[in-house]
Amino acid sequence: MTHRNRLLAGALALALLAGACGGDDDDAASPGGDTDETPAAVDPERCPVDELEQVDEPVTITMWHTMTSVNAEELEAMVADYHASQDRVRVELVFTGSYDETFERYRTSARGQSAPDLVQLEETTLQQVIDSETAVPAAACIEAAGYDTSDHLPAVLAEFTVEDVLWPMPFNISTPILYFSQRRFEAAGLDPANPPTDLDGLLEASRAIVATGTSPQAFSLETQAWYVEQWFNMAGEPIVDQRNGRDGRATEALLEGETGQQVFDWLSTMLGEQLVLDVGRNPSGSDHFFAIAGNQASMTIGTSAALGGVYDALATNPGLEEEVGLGVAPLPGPTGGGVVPGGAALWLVDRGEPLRVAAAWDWSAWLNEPEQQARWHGATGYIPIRTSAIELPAVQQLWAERPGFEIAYRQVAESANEVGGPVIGGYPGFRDAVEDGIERLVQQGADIAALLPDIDTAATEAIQDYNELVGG
Amino acid sequence: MAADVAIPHRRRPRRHVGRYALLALGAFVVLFPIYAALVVSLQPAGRLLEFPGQLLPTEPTLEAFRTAFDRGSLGRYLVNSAVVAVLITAAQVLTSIAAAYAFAFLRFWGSQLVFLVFLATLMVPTEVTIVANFETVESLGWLNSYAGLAVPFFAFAFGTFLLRQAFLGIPRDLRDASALDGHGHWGFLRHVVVPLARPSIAALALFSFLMAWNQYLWPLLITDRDEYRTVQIGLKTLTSSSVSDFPVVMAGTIIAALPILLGLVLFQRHIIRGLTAGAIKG
Repeated sequence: MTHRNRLLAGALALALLAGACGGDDDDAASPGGDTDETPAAVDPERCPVDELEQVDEPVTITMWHTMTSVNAEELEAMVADYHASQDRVRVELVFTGSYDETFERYRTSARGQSAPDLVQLEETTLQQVIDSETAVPAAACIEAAGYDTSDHLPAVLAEFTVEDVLWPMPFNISTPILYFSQRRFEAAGLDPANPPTDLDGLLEASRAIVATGTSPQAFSLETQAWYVEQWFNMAGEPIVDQRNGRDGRATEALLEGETGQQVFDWLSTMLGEQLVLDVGRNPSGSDHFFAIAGNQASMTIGTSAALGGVYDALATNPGLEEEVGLGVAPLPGPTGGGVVPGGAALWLVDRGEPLRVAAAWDWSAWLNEPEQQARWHGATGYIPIRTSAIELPAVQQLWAERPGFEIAYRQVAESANEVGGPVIGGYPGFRDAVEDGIERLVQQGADIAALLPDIDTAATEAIQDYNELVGG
Repeated sequence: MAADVAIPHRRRPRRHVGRYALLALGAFVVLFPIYAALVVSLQPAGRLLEFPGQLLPTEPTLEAFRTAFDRGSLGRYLVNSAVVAVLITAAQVLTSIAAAYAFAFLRFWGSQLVFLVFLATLMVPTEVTIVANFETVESLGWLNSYAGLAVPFFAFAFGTFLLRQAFLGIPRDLRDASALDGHGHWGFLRHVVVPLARPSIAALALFSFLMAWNQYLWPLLITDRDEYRTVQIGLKTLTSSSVSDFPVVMAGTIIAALPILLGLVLFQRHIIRGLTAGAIKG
């Protein structure tokens, strides 16, 4: 996030919180409360699903989304099919820019008459939306509708659950995976059928690739805090306190832990031996892939959401497709926990009209049906979040043609992580701290012993600054 | 014929060679990315992955332009952008002329201070005012309207500043002369000041148009419906981190930039005069 964005985010956060002050006192009592009682927010009356069955006129709801290009076209087609399937709800889609922009717009207008009924936001906004007190938890609708979540992937539900409440309804999910060139693995004497599974394996494979002169550098790396977070998740080690903020409001970063040491040591070694091609913050989201295509490197890690685009682009250039031989593998990293899903979920917005919440829920639940998840996966490459979805023809066909998708799905489906990633109010500042640290290491070869405490301090500051704003 | 010209200016061609070489280099630096965008937009995405890339499109196709136009609803959005940009430009020119006239020719108590306050508004980043502006526009019921898109930008301190400087260059004697001719402020403004400051006004108009055309965050915030969305939002709907979409993104960028490039070519003369006006004492 640029400084410009941070300034904007700060201004908007203040504006929103100014409106939310009334609820702060009640909030202060609840964090950390681990009683078995259902929290007050999860009130089935906030989501009158029965009432929706009896409407004479369809309820029209507005959904803000961030989908572009092919994904947007697919979402529009799904709206049309949803309309054809029932007469209770009509959905109006509004494209609201990137995730950041959508969240900014949401914060600007969540309390006005122009608020949406449903908004698609990234997992990093969890704490901030909860604090804004503008959303009805999906758990309220699940209770009201007697909805069965046993078919959903546990790691996906866990990611959007805070203090035992499922807040938004998961929708478009992705996960980081290893992309590599099978042909170049062979050239370097590595086995493409057994790609690296941990950080040491990555280091050894990188050495082999560079030592054999297969590519000038082995590993193209984008500066992303998300990967560091995932390595903590894979180790089963929380990256912030309060069990990653899942049991109560997080108050400090835990970046200096064992995994932090291991990850930054590894990165430092990789950089020191000149095995890494740094593509920086990679605003296009593509430079690390271009590096593989152009044989500047042979491996990278990237989001599974990019997999479809990579397959598509290679398909239009058969010569290159043959020369690279795209390989996909689960994210290499520590063991003990498991990756957590990234991506976005659908928030039900409280506009004082419970019937609209029920309507927004109806549409969200429809999108979560196995058939829709299978279709969404086939068209967009986002991971299906239902186990029964993968038996459907759309998924089986895709996996037969493009096996990388199955690997991404299995990584999430088989993840042993029951906690979920960090829940942080000051997420942008937290990520900035980690990414600034990676940048320092990449550009100046900073000393790890001095670097990690700096990152940890900056990250903790970001967490506490936000907490002070909400009085938590 | 050539000899006639060359002899009296023997040393000039050589000086020009150096100058033009430098200009050509500058032009290359500026134009190459645009050319690269054009090349990318004209060929299949797979070509893009080749390293070090290609200077000439090998399998040219206009497919990406068609996709960009449809997928980004660029037709309607271009019209909206044009309407909004013209409204904003016209209003900014009018308000800037009026305000600059007051600061340049009228003597009133505190005029210096008021001018400083004007300038100070340039220091306030958009981010600070955007929430308040949003709430104002929402309470006026101007969400999803041309009014909401254009009115908040009708006054612009930089325009006032630019024209004030231009107006200060007009000798006060002309004011006296026009008063003798029986012109009041209005007549002086219309018949003397505006014609003399035309280059600066043209430069301001172009600058305003460019800014209005390139607006993204504000239109994104206050519009929901296609009837009022602008071309930059259309562009955004094309973007994706998917490599296979790059040709479409580039095609859309070129479509959105064309009106600006055309305007630049048409108004080039005025802009250069406007920006250099006052730089040399005449």
